[in-house]
Amino acid sequence: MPRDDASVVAGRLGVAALILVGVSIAAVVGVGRALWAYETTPGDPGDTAARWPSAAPLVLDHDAPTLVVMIHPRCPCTDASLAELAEVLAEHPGPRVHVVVRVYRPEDRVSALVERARALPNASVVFDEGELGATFGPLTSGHVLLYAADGALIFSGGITLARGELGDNPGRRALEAAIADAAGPGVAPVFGCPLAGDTDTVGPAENSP
Amino acid sequence: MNTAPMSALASAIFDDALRSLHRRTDRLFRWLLLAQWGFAVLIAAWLSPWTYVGDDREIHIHVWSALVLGGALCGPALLLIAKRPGHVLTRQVVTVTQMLFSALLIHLTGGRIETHFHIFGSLAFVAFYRDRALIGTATVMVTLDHLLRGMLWPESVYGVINPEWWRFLEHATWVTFEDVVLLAGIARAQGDLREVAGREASLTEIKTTIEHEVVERTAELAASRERYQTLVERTQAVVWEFLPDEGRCRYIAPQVEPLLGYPRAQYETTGFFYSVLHDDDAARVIAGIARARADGLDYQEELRFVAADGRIVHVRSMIAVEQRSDGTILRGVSIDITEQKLLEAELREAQKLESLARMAAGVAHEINTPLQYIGNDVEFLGVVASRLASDLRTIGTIDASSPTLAHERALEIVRRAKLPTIERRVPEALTSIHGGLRAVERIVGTLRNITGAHPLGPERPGNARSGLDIDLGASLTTLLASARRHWTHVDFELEFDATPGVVRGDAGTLALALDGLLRNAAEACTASGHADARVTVGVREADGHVEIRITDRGPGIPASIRDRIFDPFFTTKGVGHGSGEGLNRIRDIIVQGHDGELRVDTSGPGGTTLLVRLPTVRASTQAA
Repeated sequence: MPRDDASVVAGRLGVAALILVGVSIAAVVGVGRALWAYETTPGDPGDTAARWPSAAPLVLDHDAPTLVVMIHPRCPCTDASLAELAEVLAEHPGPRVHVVVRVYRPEDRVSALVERARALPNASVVFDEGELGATFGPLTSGHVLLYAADGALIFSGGITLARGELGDNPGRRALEAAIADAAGPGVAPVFGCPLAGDTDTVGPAENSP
Repeated sequence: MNTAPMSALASAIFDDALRSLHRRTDRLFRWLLLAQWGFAVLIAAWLSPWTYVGDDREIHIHVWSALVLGGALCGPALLLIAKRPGHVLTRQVVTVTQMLFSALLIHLTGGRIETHFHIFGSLAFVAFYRDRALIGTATVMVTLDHLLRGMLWPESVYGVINPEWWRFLEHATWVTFEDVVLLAGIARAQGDLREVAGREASLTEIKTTIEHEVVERTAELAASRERYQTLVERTQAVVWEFLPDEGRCRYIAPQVEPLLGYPRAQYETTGFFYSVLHDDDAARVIAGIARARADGLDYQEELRFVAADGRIVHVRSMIAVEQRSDGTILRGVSIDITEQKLLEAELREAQKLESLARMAAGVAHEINTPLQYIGNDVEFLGVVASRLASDLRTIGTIDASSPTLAHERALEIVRRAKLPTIERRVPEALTSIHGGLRAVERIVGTLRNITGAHPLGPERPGNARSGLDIDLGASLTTLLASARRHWTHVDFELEFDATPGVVRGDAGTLALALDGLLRNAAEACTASGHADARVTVGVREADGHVEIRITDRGPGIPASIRDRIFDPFFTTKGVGHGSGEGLNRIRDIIVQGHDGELRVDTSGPGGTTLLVRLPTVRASTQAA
């Protein structure tokens, strides 16, 4: 019977639609939660050097704050961190900046992020195969350390709201305050790719002063 | 905007156009959603293909999100577009999906403020549906997104932390600003659509009216065509169209097949028509066609065809001539007159017999008078002879013994015999007998002259050049005598101005022609009911011609038909009173057979005079 066939088809179609909608909602919820978790879970803050490490082969500015930012050369989240940093430095042009690029392989020295880092005002790029990172202690890409002229750590943390998220956020505000006041301590969660893998762990305590 | 109430048809067209628009827009969104999905995956793969843990890398969750969330968002909308295109639920779900895509893309691009323009672009796309409710849905979605995310994670939507509580209203206001523009556009577009629907409705109504008329006209045309076809193909007449330039028929009705026995298609081949013409008619028919091409005048013609089985088929054709720049076209109707021709031939024979019978009766009367007095004279001679024989026998028996007595007796017999009377009357009787015999001889000679050697043979028009000399005076005398006997109430007069010259031809056919004219004159007198019914036949010689004027006291011939009375088959007599062929045949005999002339000399209410002119070969040899 055509009418019965049509009813059956319509019924099957309804069931399929319901399943599809259900799967869609489940997918949205599941992926959304995973995404939320991925983006909003802060990285390991590590054990950062509370004072400028004397062993560090970097120059501490004695007239202005010195900013050290540790980056993973290919971390997509760090793009947002560097963008926020560029804006901060444009508004507060005082600090000497050292961008420490964790190098895992030769091509890391010419990544897009490295080029972006070179464009930061008053900045020098340093390539690090792990030692310098261990000296300063951060374990997450995009981690910003600001040391006062006397070598005291006055800000430590990320300057994005979440992983790769542009826009106003408490970390950036705290950094700006630290630069402006040359006083700390400012702390913020850092969002970015872990600098060390499972096979590449360099404990901060090892090099810490 | 057109606010006039729409007709039911216009409303239906408007709704239909809107439904069609919704379906089209659904299809547009199918591709837009798929494109956005692909774009989301590409942008995620381009901006953040990998996520790293040290040197180890994995596919970035944004790529998965774009793939899975994009698919999850598109799935229900694409399913509805496929299965329920144009449905209100479909476009509502599409709208929600489109706005969620804005949120997804904003997120995948790391919250870039520029990506927020996707919202405004999406609203414009949603406006393609020309459905105000969808603008509401989209606006509610945007507002809810901003409200909820503003409450939960304000930086992700406003780019600032701790925004004012009303910040979502600010964003909603800008969206509303675009909404106003879009709603105005939708209203205008709907107005245009209504106007178009109104126009289409009136066009449709006109079209329906026209179609209705077309149906009616088509039916009328079909009926007319059927009538035409019945007329052309069912009646006995054969309708045809002939192209003289190509020497073939372009059309000929199917009745021609039973008529002549050749397949109809053959007439469309060049030359076939001429090939089936009777040999004796071919030259005349071709001349007629040539004349028609030259003067373009319609005409009639009788012609004969040789049918496939050898029959001779007589046909009369009424032909209309059309002269065109690309050639002459002849169109006509042909009627089979073979049967009629046979009947006419029989009728002519009957008329000829009637004429001959009438002439024979006249001749018999003429002969009767001399025979009567010949009989009387012969009887008288017989009586004389018998009495003379008796007297002689009596004389033989007289007794001769007394000579005196015998002498007296003989004298007595002679005296009684009245010899002087016998001597006077017998020569008279013999002279009378002789005159009577001369008269009979003359009448018989005239009769032979009239009937000729072939009184009932096949009809021939005669021949003025090869014929015999004709004694017109004798012929007319005999014909009038015959006529007097037949139409006793009509007074026939014969007036000779001079002894007519000798006319050469066929005496028999000429006598029939003249007899026909006398018959017509007598009938005209009868028809008029005139008390003094008289037919006068005047004969005189002029310019090498004999002129015979036959005058009747009939009602005259109306001027309107005077030119037509000699046409074939023309008649003013009722049905059953002759075929009308008489005058035409008579003229043929006089004009064609004897190089003569026949015309109406005068005609009026007092009567008609017909003039016959015949050429003479020489003056009469007879004494006047």
